Amino acid sequence: MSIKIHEKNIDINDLASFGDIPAVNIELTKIPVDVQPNKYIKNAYANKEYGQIKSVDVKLASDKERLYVNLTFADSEIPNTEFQDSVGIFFCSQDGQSDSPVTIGSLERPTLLWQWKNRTELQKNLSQAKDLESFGPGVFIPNTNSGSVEVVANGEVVNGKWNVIISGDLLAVQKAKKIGIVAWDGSNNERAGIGSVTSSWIEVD
Amino acid sequence: MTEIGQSKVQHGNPQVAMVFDLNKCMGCQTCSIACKVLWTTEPGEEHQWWMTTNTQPGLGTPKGWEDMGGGYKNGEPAEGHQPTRAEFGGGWEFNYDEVFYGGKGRSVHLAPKDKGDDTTKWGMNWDEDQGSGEYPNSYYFYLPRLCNHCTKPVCVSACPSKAMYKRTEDGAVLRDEDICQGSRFCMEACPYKKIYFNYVRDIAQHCILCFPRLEENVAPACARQCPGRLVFVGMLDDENGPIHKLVNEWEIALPLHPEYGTEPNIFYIPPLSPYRLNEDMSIDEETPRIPPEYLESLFGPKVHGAMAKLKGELEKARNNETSEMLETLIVYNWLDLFGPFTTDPSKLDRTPDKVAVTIGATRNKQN
Ligand code: SF4
Ligand code: SF4
Repeated sequence: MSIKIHEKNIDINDLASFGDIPAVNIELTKIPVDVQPNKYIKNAYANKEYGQIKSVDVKLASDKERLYVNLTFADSEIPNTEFQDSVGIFFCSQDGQSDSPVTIGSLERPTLLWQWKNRTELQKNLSQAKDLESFGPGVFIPNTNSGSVEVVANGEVVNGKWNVIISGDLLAVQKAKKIGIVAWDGSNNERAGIGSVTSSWIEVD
Repeated sequence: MTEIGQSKVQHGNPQVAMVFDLNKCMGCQTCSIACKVLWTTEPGEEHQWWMTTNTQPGLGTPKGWEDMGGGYKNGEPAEGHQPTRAEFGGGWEFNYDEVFYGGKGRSVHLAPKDKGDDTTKWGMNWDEDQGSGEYPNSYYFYLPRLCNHCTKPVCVSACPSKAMYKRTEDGAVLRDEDICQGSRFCMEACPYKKIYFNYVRDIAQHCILCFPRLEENVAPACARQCPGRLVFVGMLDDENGPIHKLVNEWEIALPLHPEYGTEPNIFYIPPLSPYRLNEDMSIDEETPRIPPEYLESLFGPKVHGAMAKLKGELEKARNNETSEMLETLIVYNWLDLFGPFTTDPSKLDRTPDKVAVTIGATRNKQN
């Protein structure tokens, strides 16, 4: 599986600005229970259905400084006032070629993760962007090595589908060459390692 | 600081503990208010009451918390329910505009605004003084609750981001709010349901044992402000302090729900009660008003021995004998409650520079 980065100027506030760049459909699978980071989560989620977002349409664009990622996926209509829908892109660490992406990094080989979270319950159209380092499923901490290019994100529901743009430093993907996608269905209380993920790395060219 | 990935809690470190004498608690909520005005006044904290006092028997806060699971079962962390906004309730906005300035002062009553999320249908002290039993044998008592700063804090083990940790110097269970990702597994796992969610900041929050006060030898606000003078604070292993005597020596101060398995460090002297009245209104001296089996459901089977000891000491006092246990519980000198934490906070240097240095030092110690 590979995705091409198209050269295009993208306006993060204009969710239509990816235009007719072709989308690649990426299948996602449930993050396995046995890779969850602690006993509580393993015990409590062993018999729970999660990983409800089964696929995401992905488009990549760049203006030579920033990488822009457009992710569209179905929005569940079940209301949930506790957890929000969310999606993220993460980057294969240079020496992590043999690791599976389902763990979203590991203690030995953490990965960079850019996450978008819907916060519209607080304020209309509010998107939250998180620049994280991931040491495993849900083992996320704020990235303390971010450069000057800030991670930003925007998203809205159009015709029952989330349309999200996440953007950050192009260098991240130039170094990694491979990416993974992770998504959380907030209506199903998904967050941290309770979500769905790409089961193999996606090549970027 | 714990390692990323696996939480580590070291046992055998100094532990600050508290003992609440339920025979003296009058349910005034001064403890709750002292905590509220000190720690939870920011946006997103409106519904948060790190200290609460509820009437027992009752559903408490969050509503029905004792049936929400979590803790340890057979030594394994057990699945728990994450309390919802509606189950906590509270954090209300009132219709002041409408009533005071909207010209409807005579037709509309002051009431919380209904935001459609059921938060107006419960609150931190909703079932106050309802209790249980039938007249003339109805009964209730008050139970002040805060985070138990447990020796086996399942909240710490459940946090995937390792934002939570147990401080080695005093055993306070704390959270690094800069690391917390708001995933709320701690809220599910805590069997006491004493963790709140800040929907504005997208982080969980809970009682911090007033650690900045402890660092200045000041007792936690709930304890110092209690007009009932019933909250002991001190080091659990200080053999000369009242806490060690009440908990370990006399075994009359007991943890709440010991079966939850997290080994709380907040203890309670169980409540005595008047005897039941027979139908002809004569006194049934065999049967206390609060059913012992109810107390056992809260404090475990050791409650019976604790009650027997308390009654025995009362008997001694009635016979003009001296009871060290009762003398301790009476607390003739207010400051005797606070072990090493007797400093008057009004005498501290609270200039902004000093405060910044204190908080910075605490954070650096953890990193
Ligand atoms: S009471 Fe709950 S939040 Fe507090 S330390 Fe124990 S398990 Fe953790
Ligand atoms: S301040 Fe003291 S007497 Fe009042 S409710 Fe709290 S513990 Fe009870």
